Amino acid sequence: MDKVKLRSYLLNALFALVVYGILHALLKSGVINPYYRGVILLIGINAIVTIGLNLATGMLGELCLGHAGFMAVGAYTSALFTLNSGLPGLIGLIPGLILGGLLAAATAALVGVPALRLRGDYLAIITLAFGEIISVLLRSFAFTGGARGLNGIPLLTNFPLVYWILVLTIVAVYMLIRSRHGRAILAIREDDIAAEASGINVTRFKMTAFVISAAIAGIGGGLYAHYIGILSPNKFNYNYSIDYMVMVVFGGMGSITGSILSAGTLTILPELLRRFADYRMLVYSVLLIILMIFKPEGLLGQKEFSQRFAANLIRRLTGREERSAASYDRHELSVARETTRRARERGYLTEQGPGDLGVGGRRRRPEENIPVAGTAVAESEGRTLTRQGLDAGSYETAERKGRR
Amino acid sequence: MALLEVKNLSIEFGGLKAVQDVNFEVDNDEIVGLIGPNGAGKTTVFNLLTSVYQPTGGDIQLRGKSILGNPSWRTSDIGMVRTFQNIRLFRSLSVLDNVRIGFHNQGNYSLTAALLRLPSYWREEARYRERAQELLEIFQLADVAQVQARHLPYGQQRRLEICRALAASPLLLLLDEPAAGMNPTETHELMDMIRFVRDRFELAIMLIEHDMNLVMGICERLIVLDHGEVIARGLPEEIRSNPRVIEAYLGTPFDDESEAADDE
Ligand SMILES: Nc1ncnc2c1ncn2[C@@H]1O[C@H](COP(=O)(O)OP(=O)(O)OP(=O)(O)O)[C@@H](O)[C@H]1O
Ligand SMILES: [Mg+2]
Repeated sequence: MDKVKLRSYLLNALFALVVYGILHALLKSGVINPYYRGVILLIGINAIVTIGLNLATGMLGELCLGHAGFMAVGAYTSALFTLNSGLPGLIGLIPGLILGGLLAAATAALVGVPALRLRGDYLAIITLAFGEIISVLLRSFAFTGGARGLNGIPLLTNFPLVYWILVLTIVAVYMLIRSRHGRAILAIREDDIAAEASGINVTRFKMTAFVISAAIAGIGGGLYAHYIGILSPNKFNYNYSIDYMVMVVFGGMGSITGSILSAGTLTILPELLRRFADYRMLVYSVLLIILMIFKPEGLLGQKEFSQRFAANLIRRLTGREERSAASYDRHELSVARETTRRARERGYLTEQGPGDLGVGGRRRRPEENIPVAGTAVAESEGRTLTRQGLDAGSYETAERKGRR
Repeated sequence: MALLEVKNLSIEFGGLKAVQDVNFEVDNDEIVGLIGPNGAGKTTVFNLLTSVYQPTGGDIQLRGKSILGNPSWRTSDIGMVRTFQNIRLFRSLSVLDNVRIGFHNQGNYSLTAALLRLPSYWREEARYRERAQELLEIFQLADVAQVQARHLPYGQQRRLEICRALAASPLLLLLDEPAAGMNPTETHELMDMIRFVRDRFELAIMLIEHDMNLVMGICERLIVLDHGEVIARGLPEEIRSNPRVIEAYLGTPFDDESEAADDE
């Protein structure tokens, strides 16, 4: 195991505990009033769903327009479970949440099979349709309460639960993305053809990411159901899917911390804008447009807010700039340095080089080494000058010209 | 038995016979050049070898086993890895990550092991890092290990692509115009690297290339394609003076003149 990594894991765990302690104390002592307590819970739930969606959209690169549908599956499943199982409190809620997540995952697998085998934006269209189908189904079934939905769901969602599920989500997605599986997912986003050539089963990894993403949305839905207490099919229509997509884009495609930040901002913002009454949504939209114009990559782009990022920010703000290292993992940097040192040792990077390996422009090759039999090469011109059968000059022009 | 055997390979694209009855073999440790004018079908041969297309006729055997019907992603498992004529890197990932992704076909640890950071995760990742380092050293990319691939200059991007391909431990490395866009100095270095790589990793290399210095300099054998058919094969010196090849490249004398006129 890796000592540097381990230390950073421990630091992050400590950080999570401290934040929890502070927020918990503020809530307990009443410094944060019940209204803001509600907002904090909603931020947590939205952050969970946004991180899940980010996995499918920002990291895998597939457009999903039906995540509210997966939330609905999780919300109704867990609500029905707590309403009917008779298990009290968290003992009923936690298995309900797990069940909701699993069912959302299974639904995603069904939706994904036809869409993910194809290249292109099929998933966007299919998930869009899926979201609508789900709300129609919820309206037409008796056991989901029809158009009226479900009432009297016990309000079991509390701060510790939301907080630790959020932490678990962050950890899971982070651990996934920094592994061979996660790199395969990122590779598909970057270039699926090259990913395939590197041995990545593109369909399988698309499926993995999409299903995990839906499972997270399902769990988020379950938390939401037990936060709000009532469910209706309208609560999960197209608009809500778009809201989550906006949160992903606003925070930065592929950035976990960006998702948290934007879930926070975009949950609070409408609350702060309440006094604008009717103009609320207008102001909200204008603010979004302004951000997208000035920062099209979202709040954090693909970056993460981490210890090193914070340290660099401080350094930059205090004028002690260390730009080149800004995107360097400290550990990776030491690896790179070590690599360079070893390369020098072995001679790959010396002026002379061992045997054959020269370095970009630093070492000129002696003429006689140029392995073009029977031709002399004028390096300055970069062309073979003698005409013996085919030479580079005539060859190049001929092929450039000839066969168009 | 040859490493790779291609028998009567053919493919048509809606009536266009892009590759017709092509036969060739590649032995272990060989460097073979596949040359021919633009549109001759060279890249299409690579696409057939890597199962991007399924042929309309013929067979491809690697170590005596037909690869027809394989999904494209399995190509690297069975020992063939390619680079692309138009560089295809994972552009917003780091150089190091590009190479690490190359190790994917040797990946063993499970998703659970990744999520729980079990010992198998640490063991394998440590091995990837070590091997990635070695590859980056050989290709002189160690200094830029943390840089996003898209920020590399062109020549380094080409080298990174080869580096990533080698991470997959191929038996046969397929290079599609590896020197395209490189300056002469870079091309010479690339030639050295290709030879070094063949010796160090003990693999066969098949390369498509328009740069005749490179082709004549490092290929031990050449196969010449024109209009999807093999028009010549043999040692570089033989190909150099083969009248059919010269004609295929230079076209008619009239062409030759007009070309001289409008060439920069
Ligand atoms: N997917 C495809 N669909 C239709 N035609 C194709 C397809 N792929 C290749 N071709 C055609 O097949 C012929 C051979 O193309 P190919 O790309 O193999 O040539 P090449 O020898 O690699 O040329 P270059 O030196 O320009 O790279 C061309 O006429 C091309 O238009
Ligand atoms: Mg080509």
